[in-house]
Amino acid sequence: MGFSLYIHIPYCESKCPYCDFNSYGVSQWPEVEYVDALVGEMETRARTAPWAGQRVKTIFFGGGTPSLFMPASIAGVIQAADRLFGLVPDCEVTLEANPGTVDQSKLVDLRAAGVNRISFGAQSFNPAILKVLGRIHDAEQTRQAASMAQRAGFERLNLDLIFAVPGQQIEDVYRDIAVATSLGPDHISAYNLTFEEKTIFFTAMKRGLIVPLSDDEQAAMFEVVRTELPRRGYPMYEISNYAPAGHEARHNLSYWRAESYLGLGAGAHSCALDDTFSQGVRWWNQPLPSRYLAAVAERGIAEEGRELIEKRKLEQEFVFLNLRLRAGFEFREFERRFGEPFDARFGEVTAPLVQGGLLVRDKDRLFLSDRGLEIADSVFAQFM
Amino acid sequence: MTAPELLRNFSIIAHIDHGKSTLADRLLERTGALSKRELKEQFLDSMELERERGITIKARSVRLNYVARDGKSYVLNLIDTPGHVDFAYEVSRSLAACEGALLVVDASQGVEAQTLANVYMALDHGLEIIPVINKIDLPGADVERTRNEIEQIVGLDASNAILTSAKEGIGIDEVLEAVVTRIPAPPANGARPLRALVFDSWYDPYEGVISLVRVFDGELRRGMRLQLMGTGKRGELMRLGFFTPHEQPADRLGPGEVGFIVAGIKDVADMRVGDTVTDADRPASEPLAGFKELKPMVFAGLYPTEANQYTALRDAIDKLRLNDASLVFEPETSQALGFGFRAGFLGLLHMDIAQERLEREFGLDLVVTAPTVAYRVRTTSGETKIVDNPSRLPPENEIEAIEEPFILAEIHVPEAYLGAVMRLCEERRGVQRELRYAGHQRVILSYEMPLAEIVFDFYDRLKSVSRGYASLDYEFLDFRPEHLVKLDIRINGEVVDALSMIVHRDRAFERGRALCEKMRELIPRQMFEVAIQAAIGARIIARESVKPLRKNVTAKCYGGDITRKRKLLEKQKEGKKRMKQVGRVEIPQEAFLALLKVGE
Repeated sequence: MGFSLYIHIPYCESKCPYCDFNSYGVSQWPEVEYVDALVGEMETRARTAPWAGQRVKTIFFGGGTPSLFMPASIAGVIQAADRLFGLVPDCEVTLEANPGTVDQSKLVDLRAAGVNRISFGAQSFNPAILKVLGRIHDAEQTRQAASMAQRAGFERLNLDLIFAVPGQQIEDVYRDIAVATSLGPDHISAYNLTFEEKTIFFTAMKRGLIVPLSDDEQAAMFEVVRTELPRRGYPMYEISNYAPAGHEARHNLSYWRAESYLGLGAGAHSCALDDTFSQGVRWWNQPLPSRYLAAVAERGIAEEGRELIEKRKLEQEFVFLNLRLRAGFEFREFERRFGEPFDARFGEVTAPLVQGGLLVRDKDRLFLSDRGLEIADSVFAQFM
Repeated sequence: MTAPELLRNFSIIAHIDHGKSTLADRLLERTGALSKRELKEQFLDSMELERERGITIKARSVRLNYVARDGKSYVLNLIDTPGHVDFAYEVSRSLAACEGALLVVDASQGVEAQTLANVYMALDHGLEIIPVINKIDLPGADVERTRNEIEQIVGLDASNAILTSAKEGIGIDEVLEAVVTRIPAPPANGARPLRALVFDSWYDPYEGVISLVRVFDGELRRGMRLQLMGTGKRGELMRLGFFTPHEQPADRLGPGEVGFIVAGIKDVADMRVGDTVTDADRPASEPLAGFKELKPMVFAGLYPTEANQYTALRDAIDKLRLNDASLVFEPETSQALGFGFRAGFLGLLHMDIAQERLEREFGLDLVVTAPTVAYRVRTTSGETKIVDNPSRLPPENEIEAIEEPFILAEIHVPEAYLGAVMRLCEERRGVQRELRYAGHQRVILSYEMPLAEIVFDFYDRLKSVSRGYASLDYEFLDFRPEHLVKLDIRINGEVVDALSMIVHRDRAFERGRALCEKMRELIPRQMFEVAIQAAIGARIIARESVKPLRKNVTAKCYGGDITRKRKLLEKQKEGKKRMKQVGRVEIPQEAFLALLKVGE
């Protein structure tokens, strides 16, 4: 056994108008206190079930903008994880970075600190689109950052792209893919822009100031993405993720495979499953950084809420998370976990979806068809 | 008991907002029926609210004591009335209990259309009508113009109209004096055998049916044995009294008096509005005129969206019927919708109210199918059947003829809208039987029309083409053979029985097309394409399709998103529960009523 460790860094230089993550645009941040709190929280968790005695399989620094932190701070967190839990030998350590916040020496230092995979929020290479998205970086900085990262020894490099941005044309999507792949990353995430509640984009949409592309346009762009990236050597392995075999983000795979994860930092979520998969617990931390810091200082943890996930819900989550993967899941994995054949639990729901061409089932597995990918949520809702 | 010459029975006819409840409040206050404190609690307003929620569609009555300028003490009974064509009969019974009515008109608004139907009905009952011009204190008040309107539109002499401001308490005494001096006293027929008109009935869980009655002849005495002349039901008069508006018990109610009676009767259907109460030991020879056992005119299927709510629905309908004698129902099954009930209603408003009460008060989630009238079918084997559910129509080759119910519609309309109203009636297959002028610029039209043409949106259309000034009443005539066909709606090729309807052959294409279009608007895009077809037998006459959903996928789903994502999916699933699954298509509840929404 082992688990995935997520570290949340909630600070950004400025908040992007489409972003609904737990992040705060700030000009300075309490880096030392925050790292102390992360380590403090980690120490508490390391003493308690189910994490005590388990090793860390992957670490992911997400945000926010983790690249705002000094490499020494990142190193401190990685070392603490190694000291308190132990890292497996080939532990994947990913850090999200804004291309505008790195330089060559920082990348070298991050690599030396133990980060072995870096993920840049490129979003687009079209200046007009970057402007709509409110990004602080430009396309040239992304090119530079990618090449500096490669020079710093990052063999594993992800670029994030966003498509279906208002004003974007289908040609822009082709172009972004061409540029992104030309930079030689080993992984690309391509996200369909969504208008999430409590974002500036959402408010602007409600007021009619910004109009999302039509469903037809968005679906057409999604189709371009999921045919063009594989053609260029990046097969789709999840609804928004593309990489050659063996280069998948192992940390994220653990979410889609519905495995346990420990999240540290402001607003981070954790999920602990019991050994028999008969139930699980998910909890989340205090999202406000100041409250998070105060809570950890006082109690050693900063839990704000939790929910018990009973077996039936775990089964549902297993299905809708695994079906996000291009390869879906194996029936025998479902049965191994839940002690019941998949068909006994979901056969009736599945049959019409297979018959209707939304799901594909072969002897061993179940996965979404191309058409199913476009309306995956409608398919998933059938299992609820 | 009050001597008949000291009694006055009246109601108030007013457009909503023209001050009916304020005036009623003032009358209650002036006669000491309610203290100022009680009035502050807006006694009558709370009743208005009840009605707004559709809970009380019933009339109420209040007894007021008034010492007039002639020095005598009068008893005034203020009888309230509901106001929609579906309940026209109940209004007519309330008015039949009165000798007079106040017509309240807002001096700044003038005569509003909705009051006319009740005014005409009151005139038909021979009531003395006293025009009251209210809100004269408002800046926009124009008394002379209002007086003119009352004379020209309503056709009443308004020269002696009473000017009031109920809000400011102006003219209240004059109103009370006019009630005493201008409205006739009820006739004194105390020696005759008892005849009392039931003008309202409701169910009380402790006492059974409580009825409001107006005594015409003889008297009601506690302990006497009663008989309902219409239903034949008997009971012992256990309790009687009147409302002031607080309940006051009494031992007797004499000729002309109004009050409530409790006779140990358990079912409102046994003590119906319009029936005559008589003395079981000394019965009257003839009941009071005008008793009609209200027959449902419109039928629709009521189905729970979830099959496990069937029993709850049955219990809820049972409870609803306790207070609603005109609601009828029986179990039925639909291939598309499962187990439910076929229910009969007086009209669409009645249906809406029943649906709303079932959903709100009993927490049910219902699918209501397209309403239909009841047809009479003669089969080739010589049988005659009443069909109140189009999907139960016998196969075409077994049908000799389909007969359609016809009614006689009586429409009162100001001359200015005559042309528009006549056109509407003719569009609806109406045949004119009479056109006569009744008073000043007021026309009474009679049309023979198919019931099916008027139960749906006719009333709304009538109001709209006459700017609201036309009023409608109708009575059943007979069944007549017409060229009728069954129109089916097929969803993805399969006939959905709950959507079938019977239509006139000449209308079938137009109806089918409009219905398919409306269904296309109402059925949301879903995972698969939905084909909607209208068909007569095997012949497709219209088709539409709902294109499949193009995109519904969450782009990001990582550790922190999973809980939220599950909740979103659960919500999507919840939303689907409000839809009915037919094959693999989810049909929203309102699509089953698409027929009514055509043209919206």
